[in-house]
Amino acid sequence: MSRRMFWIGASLLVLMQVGCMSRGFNRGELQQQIGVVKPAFDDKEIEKAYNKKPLLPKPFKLAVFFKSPKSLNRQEPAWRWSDEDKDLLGSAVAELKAKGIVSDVFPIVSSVVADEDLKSLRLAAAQHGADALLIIGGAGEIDRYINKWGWSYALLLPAFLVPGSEADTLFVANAAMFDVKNEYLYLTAEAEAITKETYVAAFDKSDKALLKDAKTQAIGRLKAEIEKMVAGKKL
Amino acid sequence: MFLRICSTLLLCFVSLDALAIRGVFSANYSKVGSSLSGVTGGQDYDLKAGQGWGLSGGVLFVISDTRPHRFELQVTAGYLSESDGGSNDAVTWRRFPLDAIYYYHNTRNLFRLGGGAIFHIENQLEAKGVNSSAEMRVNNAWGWTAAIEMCSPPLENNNFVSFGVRYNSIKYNSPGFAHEADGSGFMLTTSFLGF
Repeated sequence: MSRRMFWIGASLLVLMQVGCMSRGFNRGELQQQIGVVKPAFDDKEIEKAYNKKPLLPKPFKLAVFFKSPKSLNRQEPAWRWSDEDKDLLGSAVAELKAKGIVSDVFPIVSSVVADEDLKSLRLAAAQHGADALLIIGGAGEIDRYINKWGWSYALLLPAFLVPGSEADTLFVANAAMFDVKNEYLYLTAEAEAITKETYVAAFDKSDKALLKDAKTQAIGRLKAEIEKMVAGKKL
Repeated sequence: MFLRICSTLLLCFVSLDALAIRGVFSANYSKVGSSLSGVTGGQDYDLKAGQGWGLSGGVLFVISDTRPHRFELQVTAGYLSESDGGSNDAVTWRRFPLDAIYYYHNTRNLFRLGGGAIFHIENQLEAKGVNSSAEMRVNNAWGWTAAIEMCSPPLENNNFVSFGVRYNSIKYNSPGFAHEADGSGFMLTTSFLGF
C-alpha cells in the first residue's frame, strides 16, 4: 500500500511540474498583427521592389503614424499608444531634426486614414506633403500559468494567500520608414521586451497594466534600434 | 447559515477588482433517489426525491485565470421541479437549489472537475385530488455535489459551453415524512458560461 502511494505521489509530482510550465507565446500571430505589408511571393513584385530607388530630398519631411492595436476575440484591445510612448519615439525623430536630416515631423491621425494598409497611409502622408512615412506598430501577448504552488488553489483559500501564478508578457514593437512617392523601404527596426510577474491569484495585475510595463520597455529599445539604423543608413 | 456564508463570500469576491466575474446559465435533469410516495403515506404518484428538471443562473468567479490550469467558483440559484399524475390528482415536487461549486478547469483538454455544497430551500410537495394528503412543506436540506464536465473550446468573448454529470448527495426531511427521503444520485447538466 505504501509503495503504491509512493508511486501515485511521484506521478502526481511529475504531472504537476509538467502542468505548471508556460505554454509560450504565439509569435507568428504577433508578427501578423504588426506587419505593415502582406508579402506577395511573386517574381514581378520582387523585381519591382528591387528596381525602386531612394528619392528623398535633403532634408525631408517625415510623417509618423502609429498603427492601431489589434484586438482578439472581438474584445477591446488591452493596450493603446500613450502620450509617453509617442514622446519617447518622438525624441528619436527629434534627433534627426537636430542633425538636419529631417526638416519637419508631423503625426498622421487615424481619423484622416481610410484604412491602415500601406497605400492608404502613403496617400494620407502625401496629402500632408510628406516625403517619407514612418509607421510604428506593436503587438503584445500575455501567458498566464500556475507554478508549483498554484496547485494549492484547489483548496480555494490559498488563492488569496499563495503567490502561485505567473504572468509572462511579451511586447513586440517595430518601425518601418517608406518613401511616400515610390514605397522604397529605407529602414526597419524591431524590438521586444518580456516581463515576468509572480502573483497571488486573487490579486493579479490586469492585462492592461502588464502590457503597459512591457510596452514601455519595448518602446525604449525600439528607439535605440531606430537611432542605430539611421546612423548606419546615412539618410 | 449557508446564505450568510455565500453572501459574505460574494461580497469579498465582488470587492476584489482583480477577479474576473462572468455569468452562468445551466439546465439540469435527474431521475434519482428514493420514492416520495413511500415517505408521504403511499399515495398514487411516482416521483423520486432527487427527480426534476432544473434551470439555474448565477455568477462564475474566475479565481485563477491561468492556462491551462484554471480555477473557478460557480455560485447559482435555480428552480427544480417535476410533476406526476393527471390534471385532477397531480403531484408536483419543487425546490429552489442554491449551489456553490469550486471547479478545476483544464483549458487545454477541455474539461472541468468540481466539488461543492448545495442547499435546497422552499421545498414543497403540492398535491391535488386523491393525492392531496401528500401536500406538505419539506425542510431545507444541505448536501454536497461533485461534477465532471466536458467543455467547448473558447467561443466569442471567451464564453464556453459545458456538458456533464453531477453527483448530488442530499437527504430530505419533513414532519409529514415517515422517514428520511434520499435524493442522492447522478444529474445531467449543461451550462453556458461567460456572458
